[in-house]
Amino acid sequence: MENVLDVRKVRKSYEGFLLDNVSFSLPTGYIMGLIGPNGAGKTTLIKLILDLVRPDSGAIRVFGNDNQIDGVRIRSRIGFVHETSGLPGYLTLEQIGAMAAPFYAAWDDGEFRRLAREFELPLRNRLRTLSRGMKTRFSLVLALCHHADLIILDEPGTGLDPVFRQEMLERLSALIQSEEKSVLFSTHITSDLERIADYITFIHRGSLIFSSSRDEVFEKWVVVKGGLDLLADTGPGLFRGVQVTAYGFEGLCDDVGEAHRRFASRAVIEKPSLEDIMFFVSRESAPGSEDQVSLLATLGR
Amino acid sequence: MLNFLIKDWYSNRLMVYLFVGVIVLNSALMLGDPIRPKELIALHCCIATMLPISFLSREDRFRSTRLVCSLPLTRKTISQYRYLSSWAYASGLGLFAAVLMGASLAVRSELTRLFTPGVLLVGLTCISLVLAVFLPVVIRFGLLGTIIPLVILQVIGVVAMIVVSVSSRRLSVSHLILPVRAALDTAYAELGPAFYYLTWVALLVIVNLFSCKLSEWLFARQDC
Amino acid sequence: MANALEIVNLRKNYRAFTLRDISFQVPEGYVMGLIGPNGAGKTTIIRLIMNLIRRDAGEIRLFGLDLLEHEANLKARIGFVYDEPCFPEDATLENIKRAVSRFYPTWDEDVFQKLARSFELPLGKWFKKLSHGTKMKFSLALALSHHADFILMDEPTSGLDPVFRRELLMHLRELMQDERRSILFSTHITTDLERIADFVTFVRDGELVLSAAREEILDRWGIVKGDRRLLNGELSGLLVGTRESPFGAEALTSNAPEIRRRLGAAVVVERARLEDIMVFMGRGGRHA
Repeated sequence: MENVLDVRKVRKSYEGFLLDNVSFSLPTGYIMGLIGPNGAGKTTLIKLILDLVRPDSGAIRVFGNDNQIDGVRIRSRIGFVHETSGLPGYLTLEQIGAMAAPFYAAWDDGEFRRLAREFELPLRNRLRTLSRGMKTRFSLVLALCHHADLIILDEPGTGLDPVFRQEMLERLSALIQSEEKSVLFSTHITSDLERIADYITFIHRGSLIFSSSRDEVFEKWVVVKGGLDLLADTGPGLFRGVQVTAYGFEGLCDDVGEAHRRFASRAVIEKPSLEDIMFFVSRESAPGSEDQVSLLATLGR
Repeated sequence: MLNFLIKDWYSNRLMVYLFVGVIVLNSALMLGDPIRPKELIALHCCIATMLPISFLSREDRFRSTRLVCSLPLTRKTISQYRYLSSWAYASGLGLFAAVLMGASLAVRSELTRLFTPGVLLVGLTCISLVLAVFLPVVIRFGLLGTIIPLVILQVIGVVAMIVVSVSSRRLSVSHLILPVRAALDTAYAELGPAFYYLTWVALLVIVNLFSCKLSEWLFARQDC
Repeated sequence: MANALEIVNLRKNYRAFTLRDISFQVPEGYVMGLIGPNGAGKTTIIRLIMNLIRRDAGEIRLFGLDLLEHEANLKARIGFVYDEPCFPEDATLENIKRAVSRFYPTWDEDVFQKLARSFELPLGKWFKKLSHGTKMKFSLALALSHHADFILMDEPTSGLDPVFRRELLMHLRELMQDERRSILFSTHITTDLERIADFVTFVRDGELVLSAAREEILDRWGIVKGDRRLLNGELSGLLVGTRESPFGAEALTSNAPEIRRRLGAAVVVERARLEDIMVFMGRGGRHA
């Protein structure tokens, strides 16, 4: 099965920011979630995939073709859901649809109207009269109605209530049942990802932390919770990110086997949530964290 | 009140610099021409009033009215402070323009032409009228508010022109203005300079108070 | 126990929407989360509390004082954050802070600087050049820098990454150590609520669905799973939003103890999370 998306050793630098050596792939017919703190590079990565910006080095292939050479054809098969702030607010939804239609070979006006009805979007109203949640819904309609093969969503959950988020997730799940369509979405609401993503890619400060299947992620990473004396004994080196309190510590470990070997019955070993993983990895690179850990480890001795 | 002035300053610094630049540029351009103090002051004071009006229309554009309404102030206080602040900034800028004019007059040894009550009155009148007319509409309608009075004035002007050209009695606009001028001259003669100026200023104050009350009323009812 | 916020029969009419009969209290020293679908009225309620929009009926009292009578004094004690921070776009963060801070007698510059450092705020940058997340962080820093007794926030965590959300919630919990402080915030991210809220108010379609302590809600509300026929029978009065599941049917109940009593082992009753309650109750105004 081919990969719908292949990112290879991509590097992009801006003033004060560097996205470096990022490589990952998304097989056709699956959903990949893209997570990472604000400013980590998720939006830059998406812009690179859409060829809105060009990488300094590296290559990106979409549907098996180079995304710079075949950019136009590729973009007509991609549905991009993002903030609608770039669209003219004084136009009605119908007009915006009419404006977008000629750009897509597979634009389906019937589908556009059907989805608008289903999402309760008043086509005659102007875009600016819509609330934020409804604007996102409209963006989703625009992306879905031209039978795109790859749907890319940039933080679609912002401002949407859980009810609609659930519907959106169900719709995306249903979409990939055909195994020909794929979804890439970047979000801050990690609980949504835990529900439906097949693959997860974690970007932090411009680097790839991991990109693997969801099962692999939860099988590999664990959170170890124990007393400070334990930390003093084994040292913090095993952990990627540690949170220390007066009563004990919590550490993220990317080697389940090792964690069980060393701590077995002396500590609590749990499966982390995606949010935990993000939290601990960010603490790993937080300034002063190493000092804090070694200080408290010493005190525990 | 001071806090409000400072808030306006920090929120709109660039606009102040811009307007100061415009006035400096305009004064420089007029250096070569003979100076007619009243006309120049009138022009610069009208420009100066646009500064605080721009503060309000920016507030509307950035939707930061929400912010102002969330500060520890009642709606009434906000309205009043807006008026006072507008006056402060417009007068400040007008004074700056007067100083520049004074400088160019001084160069020609004509400084005394600046220090006449007439010049001061013209300046005050321009500021008063423009603020009195524009502030309520801008407070209520935001950016769009600046256009409403201008359009109305345009319409009045066009109507006046039409009336003049279709009238059979060869009316001209001076038929409207001359009687007013004559009335003012009579008043001046009868009241004497001091009372004349005092009455004028009192009228301006009344107009502004009325405008301020209107703004308070409009703003108290507004949803942000 | 005193109430930090008391709302009684609040009502606001719009052309297409009416907020009505909203009554709830936030006791002093506690955190209340406000949840509900898009368009339910959460933002309207928050705007009414700040008197940004005028109410058509009802009372709002803060610290026992009527909002309209003591508006200026009360607002000096409120730290507010709106879902879309609106500040002059061509002013720097430093200048905006200078403009705003003077209005608060209890402004603490040290606290602001500490927050600015911790949130990594670029104080010299123009407001319009910031990402949404940074704008929110700035808004939060301003709200939390004048020792406010009441913190009112409209979707403060939207657009913020999970790491920062967790840190923010930890910071808010620390603030709550001062037992006179109270927080009311609206959110779509129910996991945030589960971390910090003591009370939850759920609005839908402009009406109050429930307002209770979170623990109480978790005890009383549940998801009932079992055979379709059992659920459709005499108990349908106690159930909301019945829907098919691969194993039969499931529904939401607001009276889990009663269901357990009546049906015993014939059904499985699970604790409902806040998100489940919202999803089962749907949007209203539309078929569930």
